[in-house]
Amino acid sequence: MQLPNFYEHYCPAKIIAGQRSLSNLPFEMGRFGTKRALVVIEEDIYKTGFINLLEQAFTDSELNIGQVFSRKNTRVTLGGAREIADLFRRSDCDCLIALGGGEAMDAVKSAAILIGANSGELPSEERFSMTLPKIFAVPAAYAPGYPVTNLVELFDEGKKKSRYFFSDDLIARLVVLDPRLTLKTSASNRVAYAMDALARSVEAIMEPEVNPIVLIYARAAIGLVVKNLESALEEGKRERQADQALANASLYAGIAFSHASRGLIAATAQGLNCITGMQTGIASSILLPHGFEMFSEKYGSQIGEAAGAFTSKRLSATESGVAAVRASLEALQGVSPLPKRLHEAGIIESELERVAEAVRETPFYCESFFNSQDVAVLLEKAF
Amino acid sequence: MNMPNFYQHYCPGRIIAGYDALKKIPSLMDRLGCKTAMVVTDKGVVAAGLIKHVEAAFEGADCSIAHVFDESPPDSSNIASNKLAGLFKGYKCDLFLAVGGGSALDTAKGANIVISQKSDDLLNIQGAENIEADLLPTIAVPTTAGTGSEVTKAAVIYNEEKKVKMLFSADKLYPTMAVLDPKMSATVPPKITAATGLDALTHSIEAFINLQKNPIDDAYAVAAIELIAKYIVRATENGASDMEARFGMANAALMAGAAFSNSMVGIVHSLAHACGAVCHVPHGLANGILLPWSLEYNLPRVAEYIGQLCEPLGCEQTGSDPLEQARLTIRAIRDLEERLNGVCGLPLRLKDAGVSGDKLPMVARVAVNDGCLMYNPLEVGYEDALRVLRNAF
Amino acid sequence: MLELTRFEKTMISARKFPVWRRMETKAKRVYLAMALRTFGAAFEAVTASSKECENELSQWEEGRRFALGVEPSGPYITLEKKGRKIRMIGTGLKEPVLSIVFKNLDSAMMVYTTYMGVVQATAENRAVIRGDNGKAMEVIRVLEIIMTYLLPGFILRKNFRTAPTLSAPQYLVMLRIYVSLVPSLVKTFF
Repeated sequence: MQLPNFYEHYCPAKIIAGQRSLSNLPFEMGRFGTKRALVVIEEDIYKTGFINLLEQAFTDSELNIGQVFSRKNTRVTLGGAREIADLFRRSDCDCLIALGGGEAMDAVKSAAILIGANSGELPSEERFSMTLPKIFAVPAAYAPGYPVTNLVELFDEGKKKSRYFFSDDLIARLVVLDPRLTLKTSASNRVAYAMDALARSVEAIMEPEVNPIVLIYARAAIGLVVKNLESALEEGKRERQADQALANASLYAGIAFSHASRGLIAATAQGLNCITGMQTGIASSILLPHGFEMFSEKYGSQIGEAAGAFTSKRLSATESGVAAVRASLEALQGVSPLPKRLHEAGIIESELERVAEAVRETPFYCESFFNSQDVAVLLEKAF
Repeated sequence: MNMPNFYQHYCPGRIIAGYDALKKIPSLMDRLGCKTAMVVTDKGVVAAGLIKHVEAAFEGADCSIAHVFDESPPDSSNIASNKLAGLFKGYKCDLFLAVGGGSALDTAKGANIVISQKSDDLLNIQGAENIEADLLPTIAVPTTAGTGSEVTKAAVIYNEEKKVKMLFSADKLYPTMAVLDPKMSATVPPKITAATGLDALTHSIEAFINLQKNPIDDAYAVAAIELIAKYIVRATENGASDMEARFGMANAALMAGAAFSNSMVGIVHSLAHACGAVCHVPHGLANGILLPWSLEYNLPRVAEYIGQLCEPLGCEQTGSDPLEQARLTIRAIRDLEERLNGVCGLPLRLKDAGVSGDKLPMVARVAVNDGCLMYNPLEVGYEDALRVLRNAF
Repeated sequence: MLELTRFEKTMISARKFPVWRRMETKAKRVYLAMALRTFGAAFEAVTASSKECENELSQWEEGRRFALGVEPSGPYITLEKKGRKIRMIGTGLKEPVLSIVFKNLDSAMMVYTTYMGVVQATAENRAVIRGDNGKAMEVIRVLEIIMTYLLPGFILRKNFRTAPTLSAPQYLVMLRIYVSLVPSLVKTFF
């Protein structure tokens, strides 16, 4: 492991993962001094009845759920966030719980900003300094990376564009991974998120001067995906454990990525999502092998360091490290049921230019690391 | 990588590490909204001239050091904590800046508890293991690379009245920030460098094999072991000038701390705690001596895990037999310790570390009451503890 | 595709009703209260007969009071060392110096239905110890002896790191314990 000359790392999220971890949520929340929670949940998750499990956990507790807000599975808008913030004030809550996937989490984060600002208006700066109410996360739709990023994206209807905000207070203080809650994820979604986790971890590793703690999370995430992706797709006893492993991998990748959030694949996947509505997980899965090839020459030594996470064999030379990772990625692509090319996923060539433009708008775009030429090449290769 | 049925991982402190990381302290205080720091340290650190580095970092800054408290005893006590709390309030400080090993930080934690619970005496809050009130911010600057206490939630404080150690352990006790700067450990003598380094190695290995092991703590532990294998001999041999090795060890100790703070430790620590209590063997040294013997004790249950550590320790993985692999790992640890013995004369046996043979039964009796045994992969009774101690003697 | 089991699904939909949720919590509390009382009785019966317990207890200070239970609102039992045995003082927290409590009902249920052993529950951070850790270790060792006498072999093999085995004279002690458990149970429950 190479150490950079200087680094800073911060992740205040407490991970609580495993059997009946949801029952432990009120106890752990109590330690943060919170009393009354507003739960934000996505509509289709609401239908699954998982909210009942949460309510059950609060039955034997001094804490309570003040209000449950069920929202449609749509993009988070300023208006939607205002609605949640108003409900938060009216129902006298002091903390927020996001139960669901990335959108529930983004809704909670956006509302937290409005609650913190106390004016109903968004701060003008991307990086602001104000105290936000505590956020707790119960990922239910297999997107556990979202709670641990210090970033939120929301759509401002007035300005007709996406806005991004960064704050350490946007990181959930508790992340509860209860295996019951991710089970309903379809196989293709599971693979998509696992590949997303993989792509983000690989990119975190490739980043120059990477923070060694990020490397630790990225390695752990890669190890879990590589060893469990196949069994998560099989029918049988092992799949529950494998499923939980992938959920954890996704969380670790989120922690790694929130500290090393400049990445060609991440930016391009985000751009594809903005323009075509393609799921970022699927986009990452398609882009990963191509992105890896483009950067492997440049960052071979860093990849060689992390190659141990991909295989159990010991590798010393840079060359073999890259080769090992390549082989491992190919194997994963082999078992993955996801499309392998952008055109297979329904993208038409004329859209690519607009995608490339959108990529530059995303917060993951970084001129010093890669440029718009690289984006165009990647899109072309993956098409 | 196996998923455990259930696990928790928590490491909420901000980590700032670098060759001139000390210089960042004023800006970090600014981010916390603090102005006046109380430096908590001990006489040894002051004598080594390390506080000068800290003071230099404050030159021209908005915030300042109000007082340097250098009376942290080797085992932090309730009396020191109470005194520090009084001074802290007297100087109107708003932040603890703990510079030193584990005990300086523990003293600061003790004083912090006293202040946050609005009390004058730590003994009044005995048994309050679950500290509910918010504590004042603490920045930890370790001067030895070993205990990892800059990222752990425990504070051990000696009760001078009852002559017992009190253990406080609560999520609130995690230091707010940990600042790693290699020049702070540059003056540590070779023998202590080796012993504290082995302490960190023990933390990571025990975290990796015991009952609470989980994928993320495993990854922390493996990273720590890699760094220790790479740097411990260099740091011991040439610690005054090899800043890269010092920085590597400081990071390793922190990672090991993060791993064991969640995954806990096992038999090695319970025996080492007992050796410390009965025979006053320094903690790191006892850990280092007992580590290979304790791994042999645990071998029947966790050979697979011990075997996996072969690679991070830097030796070639050969066969596929887990038992053979595990033996290689233990061999590698012994080799490492023998090299350290050659470099600085680090004792390899308990008898060379000041333990007399007739004390072993008493050490074993104390050890079986140590909480760490809860997390050891195998049950440890009095007879078992005594056997390991005799082997290591 | 992965699915919840039918039982899990039924439980999820039943919990839609606040009445059910309250009943479920109540039922768990009642079960745990009974299990704890039985355990209290077992403490009395086993410490009165077993040699191993006597050895352990000789290290304890007289009158050590400890509690077992569940956060945040019970049930609890409080026990005390008296002479050479342990006596149950009663339900609830009665000023113990040491308590070993589960963080929530579900975790307590897993252990008191013998689904999971004490060691695993501790390893999974499901309980908190308030008080001296060393004393807690001593209590847990006695607890393990009690379970050795009380529970059938297949559960011990499942829940212990090293499964304890009983010798022939110990089986006699076990028989005596079962007999003496009856009056203890009667005393605790009525």
